[in-house]
Amino acid sequence: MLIASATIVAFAAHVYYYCFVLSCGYTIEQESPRELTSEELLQINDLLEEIYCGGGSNAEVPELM
Amino acid sequence: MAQQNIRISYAFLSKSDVSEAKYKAHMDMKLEVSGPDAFFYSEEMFLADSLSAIAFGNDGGIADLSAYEERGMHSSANTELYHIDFSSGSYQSYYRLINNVFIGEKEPLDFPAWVLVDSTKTFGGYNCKKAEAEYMGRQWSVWYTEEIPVNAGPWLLFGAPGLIVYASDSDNLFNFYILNQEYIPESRLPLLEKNYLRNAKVQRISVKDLETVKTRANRDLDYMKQLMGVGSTTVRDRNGNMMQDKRFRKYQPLTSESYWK
Repeated sequence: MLIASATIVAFAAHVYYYCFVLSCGYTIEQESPRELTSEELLQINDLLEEIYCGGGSNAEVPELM
Repeated sequence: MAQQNIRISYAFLSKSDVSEAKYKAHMDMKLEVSGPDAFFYSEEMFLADSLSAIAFGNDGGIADLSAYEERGMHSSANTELYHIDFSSGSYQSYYRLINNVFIGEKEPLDFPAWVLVDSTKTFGGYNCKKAEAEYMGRQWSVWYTEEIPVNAGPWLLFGAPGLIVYASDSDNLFNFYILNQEYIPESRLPLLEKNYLRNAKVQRISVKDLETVKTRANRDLDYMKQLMGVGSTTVRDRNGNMMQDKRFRKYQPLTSESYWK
């Protein structure tokens, strides 16, 4: 996870735009009607990582002996 | 129920659809049993919340840079939390999106009518026996060990004659298995609850309504953003090309949707 990956990139007409650079290479521009706190940005970053980068399904069920 | 506090680590494997061949793994799930209470939660969430309590002030701004940097090494994405109160025979569930916390009010426990099966195996060094029951809308097979006399298990599974160390449903959507266990001198539950609810806007609803909200939010990302109070999203690939954002994704809740009908 990248620290402080979200930065405010624009503000116009009461809309804030934040840019998240995710570990899988995607860049997410997120609109918000209000200014988000540093804590909220980290929480959103966690969710975006899970949604856009966490899709790997490759685990197998272990066997009982 | 054991008098000591015990913390058990589980792996949680899940599929978002029966057609998928392999599972998504969450290797950080914890069951903590303390007196009459059992909590099931993500260790990553616990660590992220604990560090956030140091890193951020009440206004959400950075208060401690060192804690902030360490907080960034953990993920708060898995915010599901389950609490069984065996003394009142009830349970609650929790779900959080940023600082919006939904608390499912106490619901009577649905006691699984375990059918003990004459089969013995070992798992993780434990001698295990098998039991089966229909529970929360799914058919569960569990393996429990009498070597750990705790009548609890992962998620909301409980009531077998020993600790549930392995569990799977008949649709092969979910699987839990034990990683390790430890007796602990002090419960972390007060800290877990305090930090989970820090700076939160709490909505108390029924467990059924909470399940509806959680399932819809996991399937419909526009609905998730609406709950979070944020707007639309633009996605670009690593070359800067704009991609079509995903709105819908597959998701299966542990409690079957048919259970609530």
